[in-house]
Amino acid sequence: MGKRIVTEKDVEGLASRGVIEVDSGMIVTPLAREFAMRQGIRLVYAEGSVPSAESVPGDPGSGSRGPNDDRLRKVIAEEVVRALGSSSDAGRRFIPSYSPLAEDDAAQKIAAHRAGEPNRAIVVATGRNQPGVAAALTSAISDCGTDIQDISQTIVSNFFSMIFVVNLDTLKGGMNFKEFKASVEQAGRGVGAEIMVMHEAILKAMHRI
Amino acid sequence: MIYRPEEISETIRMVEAEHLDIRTVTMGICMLGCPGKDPETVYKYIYNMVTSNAGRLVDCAAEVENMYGIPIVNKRVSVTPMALVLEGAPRESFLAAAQALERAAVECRIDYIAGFSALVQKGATSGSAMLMRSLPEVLAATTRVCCSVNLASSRTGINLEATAIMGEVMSETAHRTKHGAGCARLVVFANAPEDNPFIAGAMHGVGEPDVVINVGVSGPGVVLAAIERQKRLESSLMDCQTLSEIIKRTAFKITRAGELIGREVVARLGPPVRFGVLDLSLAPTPAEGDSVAAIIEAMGIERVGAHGTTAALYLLTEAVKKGGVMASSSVGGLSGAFIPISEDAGMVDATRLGIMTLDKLEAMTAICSVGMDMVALPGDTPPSTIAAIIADELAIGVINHKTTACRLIPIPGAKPGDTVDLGGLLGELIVMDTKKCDVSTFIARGGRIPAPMNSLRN
Repeated sequence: MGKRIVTEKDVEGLASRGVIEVDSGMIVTPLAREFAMRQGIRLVYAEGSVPSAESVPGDPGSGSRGPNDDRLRKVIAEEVVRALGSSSDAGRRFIPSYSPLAEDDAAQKIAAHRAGEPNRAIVVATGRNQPGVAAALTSAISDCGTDIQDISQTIVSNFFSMIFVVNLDTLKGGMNFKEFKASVEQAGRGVGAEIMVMHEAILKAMHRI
Repeated sequence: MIYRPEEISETIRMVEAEHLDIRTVTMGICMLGCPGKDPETVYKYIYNMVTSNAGRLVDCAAEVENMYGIPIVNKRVSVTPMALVLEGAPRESFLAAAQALERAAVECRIDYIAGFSALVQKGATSGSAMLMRSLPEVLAATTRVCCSVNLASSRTGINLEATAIMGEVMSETAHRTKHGAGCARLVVFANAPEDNPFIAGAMHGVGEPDVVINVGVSGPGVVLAAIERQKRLESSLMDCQTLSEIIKRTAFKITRAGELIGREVVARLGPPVRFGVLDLSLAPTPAEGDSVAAIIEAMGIERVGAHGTTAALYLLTEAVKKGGVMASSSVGGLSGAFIPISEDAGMVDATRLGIMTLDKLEAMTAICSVGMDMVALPGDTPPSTIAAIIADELAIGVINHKTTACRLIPIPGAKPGDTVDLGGLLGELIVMDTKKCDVSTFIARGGRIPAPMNSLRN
């Protein structure tokens, strides 16, 4: 069902009545609302109507995000009265504005924040070049179930430096970062390479704003 | 590549060669819920509170260290100032509290636990007075408990009566512990911050939530290396803005690393632990190159303590703060530069040469974050002179609206110029000379030096 957009012009046209009734089939543009306010025209929202045009893109179907402010306030007030009424010391009870235990969900917040972030490690290997160095390191990395996303390599005379960006999302079941680090370090020792493994987050923190 | 190889190698270099580390992750624990005042209840409550909250601190920190490759040097605990917890308690309860802190620290594998403290900037309650008087015994009986007393503030002025008492307490503590080492765990403050993560002056203020993690980032070595590198790149002499810019950029990176690690530790510990503040202080260690003095010398001052040192320190401290504040919205604590004499190789050298003197140090404390830190005094320094040194330092803090502190160590039997090695992080002490004048009448006046004009800000 299409909605009727109420623009500044429409409000102007209806101005003589002093009151405009907005129902759920209407969307009042911000400009129209501002105009109405300036002209002293009251916008009366019918139940279930959309008080703001901003909600339209997210929710075009129902046309409603919930009860309007007045109704919401009323519902909350009723709930509060009921909650207070049911307790013996109603009115005197101190209701803390927050509980430190319940509110502080830093861990979850961080975990949720992380969920969208890449979980990658940076592996840096340096040492004297010899046959099989790259093979030893890449196979150690793939043995852990992880996927190499990027490699950079420099060889100066006899020495090499390799940087791997490794995706940790596919780390083999039961393996954690510490074990991954240990197993790559061990592979490095086998071929005389100095290994440094760090989580990507530290680089991001230090070098990206 | 997502990161340029230079960025990756810079990070590695900072950690491996330039001593980038997280100096301390300090857990602050509120102790205000103590259900009783008798020694047994106090002991049990404190022991349980520390071990239940901080039991996993060392392990969690180790996991995070491993993940990011950046060492967390110290894991420590601070508690609510004990004078508040024990107000009205008998003397035995104070000793029981100290023992509980000591044992809990051992249990949690923590080297120092702080908060055996009192706040007496305007006047001492009977509990605070009892705590101050118990300090020599507490410091002699423990090895991990750190004590502090806030003697002054910009709002209240200086409590000279309590300052005189602390002069005596320091003197007595020195005589009851070997080489006076107990005094290394005793700090007096003006304007003590409530969220400082750095031992020995840490405490968990009354305005803080139940449990917080405060992080002290450090890295004088990294700042020094950045300056040295730029010096090699520039053909002409760097001006002060350029210098400031390099320090700012480095401080920014250090701070970002610190915040990441602090928040990660908090996430691992889980509720009710919250992230508190990042303290941006540059804290030196006796390790080669990890020195604030060396940064000042790299700026072109031949030796720290020479003329120009105070200005160079101002440049450094301000730049560190500006870079850090840009990097994090949770900056707090002391946030400046530490200039402990014994813990900084450059400071030790300059003191040995007689270039760094007590007077110059005092001037520097008007700018840096703490104050007369780890200053060794001759063993025969009278308590009134110790109190007078403290009072001078407090005056600088009060009038400048900043934190200042004194950690003075009168070493029994030592003469000016003597060297005493306290070992470990505490480093090597060179005994400094004091002025041999009588100031006892001034100190004996007692009372309170009234608050400065600029305290009337309302």
